[in-house]
Amino acid sequence: MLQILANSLLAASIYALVGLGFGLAYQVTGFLNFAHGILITTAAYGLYLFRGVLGLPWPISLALALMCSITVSLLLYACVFGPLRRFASTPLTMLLASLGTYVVVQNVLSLVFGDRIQTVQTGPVLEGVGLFGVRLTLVQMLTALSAIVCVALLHLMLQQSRIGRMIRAFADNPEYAAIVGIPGRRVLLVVLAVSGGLAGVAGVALAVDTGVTPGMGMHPFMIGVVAAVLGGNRSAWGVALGAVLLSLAQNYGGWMFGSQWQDAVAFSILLLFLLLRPQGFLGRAAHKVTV
Amino acid sequence: MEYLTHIMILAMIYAILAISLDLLVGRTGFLSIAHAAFYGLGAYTSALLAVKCGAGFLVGVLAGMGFACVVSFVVSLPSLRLHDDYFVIATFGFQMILFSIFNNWMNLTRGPLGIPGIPHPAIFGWQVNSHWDFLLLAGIFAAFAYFVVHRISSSPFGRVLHAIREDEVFAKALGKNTLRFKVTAFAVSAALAATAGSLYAHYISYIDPTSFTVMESILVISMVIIGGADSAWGPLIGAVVLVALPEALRLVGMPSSVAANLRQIFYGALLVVMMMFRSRGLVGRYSFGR
Amino acid sequence: MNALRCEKLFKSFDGVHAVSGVTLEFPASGITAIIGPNGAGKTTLLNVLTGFVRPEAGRCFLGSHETTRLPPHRIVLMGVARTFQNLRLIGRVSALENVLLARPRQRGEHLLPALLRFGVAREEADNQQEAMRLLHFADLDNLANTSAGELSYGQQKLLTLACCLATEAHILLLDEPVAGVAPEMVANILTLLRRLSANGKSIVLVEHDIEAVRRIADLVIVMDEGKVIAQGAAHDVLGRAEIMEAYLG
Repeated sequence: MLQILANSLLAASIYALVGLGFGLAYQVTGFLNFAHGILITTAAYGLYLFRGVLGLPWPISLALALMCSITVSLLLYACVFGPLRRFASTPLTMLLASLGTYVVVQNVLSLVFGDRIQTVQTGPVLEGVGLFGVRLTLVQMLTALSAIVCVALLHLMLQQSRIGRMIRAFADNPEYAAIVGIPGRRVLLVVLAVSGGLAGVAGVALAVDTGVTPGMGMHPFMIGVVAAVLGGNRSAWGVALGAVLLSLAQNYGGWMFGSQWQDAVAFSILLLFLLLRPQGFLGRAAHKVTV
Repeated sequence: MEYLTHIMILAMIYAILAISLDLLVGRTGFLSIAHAAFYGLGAYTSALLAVKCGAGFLVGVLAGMGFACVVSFVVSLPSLRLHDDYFVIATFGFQMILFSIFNNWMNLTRGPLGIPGIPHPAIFGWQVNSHWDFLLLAGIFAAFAYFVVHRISSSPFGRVLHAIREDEVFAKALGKNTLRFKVTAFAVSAALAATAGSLYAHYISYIDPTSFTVMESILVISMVIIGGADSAWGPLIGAVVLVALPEALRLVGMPSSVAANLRQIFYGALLVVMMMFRSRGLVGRYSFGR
Repeated sequence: MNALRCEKLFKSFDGVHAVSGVTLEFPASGITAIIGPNGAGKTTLLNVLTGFVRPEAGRCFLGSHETTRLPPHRIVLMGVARTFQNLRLIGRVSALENVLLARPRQRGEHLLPALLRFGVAREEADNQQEAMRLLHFADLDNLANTSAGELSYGQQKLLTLACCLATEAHILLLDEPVAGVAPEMVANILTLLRRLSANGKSIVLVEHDIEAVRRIADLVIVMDEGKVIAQGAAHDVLGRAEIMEAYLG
């Protein structure tokens, strides 16, 4: 039982990181950005390139990989979503454009790197550590640790720092925030960078754990989005909680019913929340358009 | 010639998918990423009924439609009451679980091995064997899909759908139960997508999960947008263009895998460009945004 | 005829009390005006009464039926229609189409009849006739086939009124029906409202234009900071200096 918990750790961390990055960007940009999954893949290929191909030392490779996803996050906005915004687009057109963007980038990666699973060698295979009667690999522990640190930092940033307050004000009511003089551009840049960074951490962890393929971002993205919905739109810890719940349920469900039902379990939880508590664990009510 | 009719048949099948998706996206203004899932649902239902129970083609089609309809309510009822974004997420999730079921439920769907040996359709004595027969059958189904969508769209029901697209709050304020309309439109589009799946299964005689992925959903969305939303010809044109493209690339001598990537890059990029400069696509009547 | 009323309504947004303990009974006929400074909660009250916003506490009634948790479309079908402060219409289609949209209980709005069309054409013809009659009433009949987006602001306001009437509602809640309208048009709209009231419709309007209110309102309700601070016969309330000062100050 405890082992299931341990196995869920990596997945929960990934989902939390992706969900947080996605949710943060959604709060400020106002549209569902499907290209978020790309940021995961970008960092993964970044790590593969810098560590696997070029052989650079770990710290540098990791940092560069994160730079990749942050850069792409900003670049996509500069090239696609920013201009679209200026053309007075609706959230739907932005969503459609993000779908197109995702497709383009995934295929470009496929052309450049091929579809084979690329791996990033981690040196001598680390069997993992026995802790409280449970086996945990180094990757699992590091990822979980990174995730917890990220969630905590994000929470602190949003609640305590000036930029965090500005982000929250902007997320609540962009027109009002603009009137009051909150620098929309700066808020946006910070959010895009943080969002890219979080996705990058997830990508890097996945690269080491399961390898790198062009389509790897789609699945963690989807579950990350569900975690974001479960978390509501107010709290970083809510998303983390959602991610843990999802991961546990998936693993447990997979163990009970067979692995083909893992995603069905996640989806059922999503439906349940939509039916009973759309604002998620800690969010505010999910109202439609104001009248 | 065979090759050409093969392309045309595929174009017809995708046209059905695009036309049915246009009912949602183009005419009612909300997006679903689950279209490939319903396509797959129809395909697998038809295939399994035909292969495991020896059921006839029409039985498989009707079963697929019914099944898709019922399943669509599971997705739409909880999520359509909420913000449209929740619905998109719900359809996205649904798409992924259906793929996961197609790909992992070895006992039923044989997972990645797929289901081979799907017989050619026999409809009241008409044995559909040749490419021309299939083209005719596909054409009939496409015409049916078009008929349904057009009929709905030009009726008072369609008037409300368009109103929902333009201003849902206004529609509600005029006494329209917009939830009912959206749920119904979604169910109809799912059922039509399932018919395309049945056709596909019996035509290719073999299906596997890779035909029913999220990327496939996005491809159909692109067909609707690029061809033009809320129009008679738009979805068909979109389907023809995007089906013909990789074939054209292959004729020029491009290796198959590269052609597949290039097609996706093409429609992905076109989708972005269209959203920026011509959101009504080639011949659409509705411009997204603005 | 059912009368609209509410009991101890509370609704706040982000800590601001938009509606605070409002208890009102609207008369079954005549014209009632709700006035008050910006942010007094008038539109929120309207939203709660018509089901677009859920109150945190309190109840709404139409006659003996409770309407508090009902969705907007059900309240419309019970006979209460409304307009919006930021004019809502389908700009892309014609004025006639907008009014046709508003016609209630259309058979053609169900799937099977939409596909099979039994009796739909007849019903549509009947609805068209009624729609044209309403457009004529609003003096818009020569603009029936013009797209709503091309009408003047005042004409659009008249159109939204025609749409309300098309729903066959007997209670009309109008949010600033003459705001931003050219003076000649204002007179038209007010005349129309008086005629509707004489025909038995109950009209509640939210307005800033005190002159307009003075010209047609029978009853006036004054709101400020989410509360009702005065109500009574129009000439009474409007004559009270301290009310006017609170309102304008």
